[in-house]
Amino acid sequence: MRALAVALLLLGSSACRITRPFDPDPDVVALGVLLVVGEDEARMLATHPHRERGEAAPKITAELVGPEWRVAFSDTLPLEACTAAEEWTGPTTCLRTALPDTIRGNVEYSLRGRAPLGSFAGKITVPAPPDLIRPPDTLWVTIPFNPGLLGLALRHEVGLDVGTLLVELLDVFETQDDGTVTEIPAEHMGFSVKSIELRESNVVSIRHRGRPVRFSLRLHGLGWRYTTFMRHRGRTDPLVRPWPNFGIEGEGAYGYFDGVAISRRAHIFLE
Amino acid sequence: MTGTALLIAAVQQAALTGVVRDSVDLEPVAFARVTVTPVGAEGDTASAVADGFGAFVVAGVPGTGQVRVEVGAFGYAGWTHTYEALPPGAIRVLLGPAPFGLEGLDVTAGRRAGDPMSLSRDAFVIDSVLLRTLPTILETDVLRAAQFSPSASAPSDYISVPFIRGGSSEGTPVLLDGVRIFNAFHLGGFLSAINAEVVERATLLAGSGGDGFTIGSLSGAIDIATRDGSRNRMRMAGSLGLASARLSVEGPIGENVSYLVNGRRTWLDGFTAVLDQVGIIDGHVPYFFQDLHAKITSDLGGIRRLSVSGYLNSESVTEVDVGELETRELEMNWGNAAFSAHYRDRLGAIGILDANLGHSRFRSDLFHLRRDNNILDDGTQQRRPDTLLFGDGIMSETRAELRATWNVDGVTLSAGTQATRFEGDHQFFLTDEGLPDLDIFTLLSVLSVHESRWRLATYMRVETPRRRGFALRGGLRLDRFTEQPFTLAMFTEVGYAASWWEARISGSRSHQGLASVRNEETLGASFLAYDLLVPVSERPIPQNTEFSIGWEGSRGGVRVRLDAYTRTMDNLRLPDPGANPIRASVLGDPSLWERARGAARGIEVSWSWISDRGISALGSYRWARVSRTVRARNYTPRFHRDHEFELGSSYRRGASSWSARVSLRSGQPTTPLLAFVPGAPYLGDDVDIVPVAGDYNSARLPHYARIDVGWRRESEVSWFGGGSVVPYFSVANLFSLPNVVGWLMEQNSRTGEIRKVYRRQLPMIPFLGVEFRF
Repeated sequence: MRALAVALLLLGSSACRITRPFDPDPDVVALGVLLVVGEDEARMLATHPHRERGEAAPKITAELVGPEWRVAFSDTLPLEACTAAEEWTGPTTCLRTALPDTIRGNVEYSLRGRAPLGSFAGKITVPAPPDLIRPPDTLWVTIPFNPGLLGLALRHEVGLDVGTLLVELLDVFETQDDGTVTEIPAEHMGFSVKSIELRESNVVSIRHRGRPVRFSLRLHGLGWRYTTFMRHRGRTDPLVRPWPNFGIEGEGAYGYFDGVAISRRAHIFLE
Repeated sequence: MTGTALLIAAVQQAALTGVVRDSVDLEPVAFARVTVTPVGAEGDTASAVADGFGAFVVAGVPGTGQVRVEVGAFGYAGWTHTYEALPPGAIRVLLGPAPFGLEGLDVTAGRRAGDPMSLSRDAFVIDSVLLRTLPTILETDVLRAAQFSPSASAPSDYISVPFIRGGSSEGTPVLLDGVRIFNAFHLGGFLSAINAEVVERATLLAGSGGDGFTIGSLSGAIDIATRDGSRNRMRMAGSLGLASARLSVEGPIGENVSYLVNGRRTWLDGFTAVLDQVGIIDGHVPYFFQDLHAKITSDLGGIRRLSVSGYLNSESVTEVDVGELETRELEMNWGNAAFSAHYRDRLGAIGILDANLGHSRFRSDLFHLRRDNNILDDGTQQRRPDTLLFGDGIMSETRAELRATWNVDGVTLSAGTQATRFEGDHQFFLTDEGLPDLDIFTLLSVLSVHESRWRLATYMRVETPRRRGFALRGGLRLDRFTEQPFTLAMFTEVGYAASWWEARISGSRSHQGLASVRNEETLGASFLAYDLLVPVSERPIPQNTEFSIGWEGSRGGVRVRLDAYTRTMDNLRLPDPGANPIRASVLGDPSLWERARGAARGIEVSWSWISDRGISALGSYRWARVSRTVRARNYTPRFHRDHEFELGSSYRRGASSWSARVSLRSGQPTTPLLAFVPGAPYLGDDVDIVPVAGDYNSARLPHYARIDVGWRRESEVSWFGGGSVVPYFSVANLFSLPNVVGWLMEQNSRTGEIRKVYRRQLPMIPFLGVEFRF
């Protein structure tokens, strides 16, 4: 094909290239805000994606407006309070604000603030928690003696305002051969968090090692703004304005603002 | 009523008819002005302008008494003859080359280039001599020369076919001897498919009114007329260039018939194969093109004539690349075949009847296979689904036209009827992984079209003579497209001429039943000009509405033309650029196209200056705004530049001539990249980015500047009975200025660094070759 390119493009246009580093505005700010139903605080991840990591973190003034209250993001937390990721592309900070009331589903919240290049704002309605119908609160499952995969049927209802549905395994305890019970990473069960279809039922594969194990399972329903943003991660060509609604609009401030609601826990015992 | 009155008046008057020819090779001389003046008696002077075949009808002349006939044409010495009485039959006027001055544009045969603005009031005409006064890019190229018109814009350095006044290529047919040539280029669009040896002139019609009215397109046309063939002796001409060799042979057959045969073939494949064999390069270019054109013209007496021409071209890429990991096979063949016939006869004393028949057919055939060769440790071959593209297609146009033209007291009236059938049948299939990429873009997507449509038209044109004072032109055209309602097209122009200047204002509307599968917003569209046309099967038909105002003046060897226009193109079929199509396939699926609208407005200035000291200059400047609206998105198309300046000059001293061309243009539209927004998934830890950009095509690439220079030296030789040899040397982009055509985002997989990779326009490249004529 290279020879074809040479022929058709006459001079091998693939060789005729001028490479320039992208020269973006260093004051651009990337924001990430997810309000979690049931929590009494909100956190905002803010980064200067076009700066070196050692430089100063973004200076953001922002406030969250809920039903009959308004609070400012005034605290700074360690980064891990906002995200499990460590390899951020620039100086990053985690801002926090305590709320006078817990975040509730189907309630409208708005965000407004000021970043180095201008103001930003956003408004969302936090989704309602997914209704986990199956498994029940407690489920006992007999597993074969040999290691293998177990198909675990899930049944649930989610609102139309949920764009991403995650199943999370947590608090995984395995009974060892000597009878001791040890907490093991959820990844040993095949995954710790997994995206599943929005339809009413799913079957997730659980890996077991032939030993009794118990764990908890719950669903996370995330809004469409977050979902849409994540769908565009890793794309090779820039997303052209007008962008999809990511929940935030502003001058020099980009990112997402959305909500997440969590279902009840189901306790699964594999024996 | 006006037409009827003119016809009645026509049969009551005497007229002088004839043909103007070159005195050396007896070729027709187009656009000569013929004036008939009574001698020693009262009466008005009557005049007419010869048409493209050198034929003229001067009506309203006295039927008795002496008359003096004067004929003048640019580049020729004046011709005067006094007749005792008006000749009853057609006369033949032989014009000799102008014997003085303007050496800068002299060539072997003694002719000099016609001023591209002086030959037609609304067209830009490049003749065979002017073609050679510009720096050569690879080869003398008629389509590249047409880019000098301020109405024409090159979408990139790699594409020779210009876009006209904010339209794209599907709206501007390239006609060869009256028949449409599909994809009239080679090398992806870099080189015109029309052999420059046989070009008599190329007429760039910038609008759908005026001379372009009968064509019935959205954005004018490029009308290339070939020579008839020498009538006095056999002649041979050709050239040897870096990319190809071409040869033409022409001569008389008996008294009244002439022939012209010419062909060209690239030697890129053979040349690179030799370089590969001796180890200078690694791998060769498995590509070739060739074309063949033949024309026979029979003069049947007076203005009567019959000409038949045929054209064939083909291109091919065949490659089998067996690598360690995979095998790639590629076979692409495509080409054109065209045929046209033109018959002309007298129609009464002052009428001319033209009958044209043409057929053109483009075929394409593609096959691409990619297969994994990966051998695993256990000796088995790892099989991955084959990557496959295959398909073929044809598009054809058959056209018949009958036109009658009368000249009544200087008023030209013409009426005609056309029947055109277009067929598009393209079937291309590919697997999910089957997009054959050319490193930076894909060529095609899945495409399945089979449509054929008729277009029937009848039209009438009236044109009053270009004398001092007011002049009028106008026309009506009724079209019937298959399964579409009738459409009415029209144009009208009011002109005013003073002693050295003239002005005009005009409006026109036209329709076209064809749409393109090209996506001009892709980066690949800047490198590949190929197009597949399909009939518009659903209502409404694409429509162009255009208004223009112009001024033109000539003093002291300087001619200036100024035009301002505004146009709207309704009911276009275009892809929605919402998904950032920069890497999309150049040829897409037209069933996904949206009904769209285009608009353009601009100011164009062109000028020419020819001195007696061997220097000549031709230049143009154009400002324009062009937009497309698809759904709610309004954007500037990627091929457009707001400002374009062209200046070409040549200087001749002795046998050598030097030429230079300066091109300055503002940058093409691009979409500004605003930020890389990082994001990690909820409960996840892998950070990845969302690159976000501003409004589509709202920013501009850097300005464009390029200087080409050329040199030619003409030497008389005695070989083959005498002739001339002209070696030429030229350099494109002399200073290798880093002009760019677009950019892509690339991320270094090792460092993660994100960079903008600009794709360059033409770098500095020297070209050389030799032309000969015997």
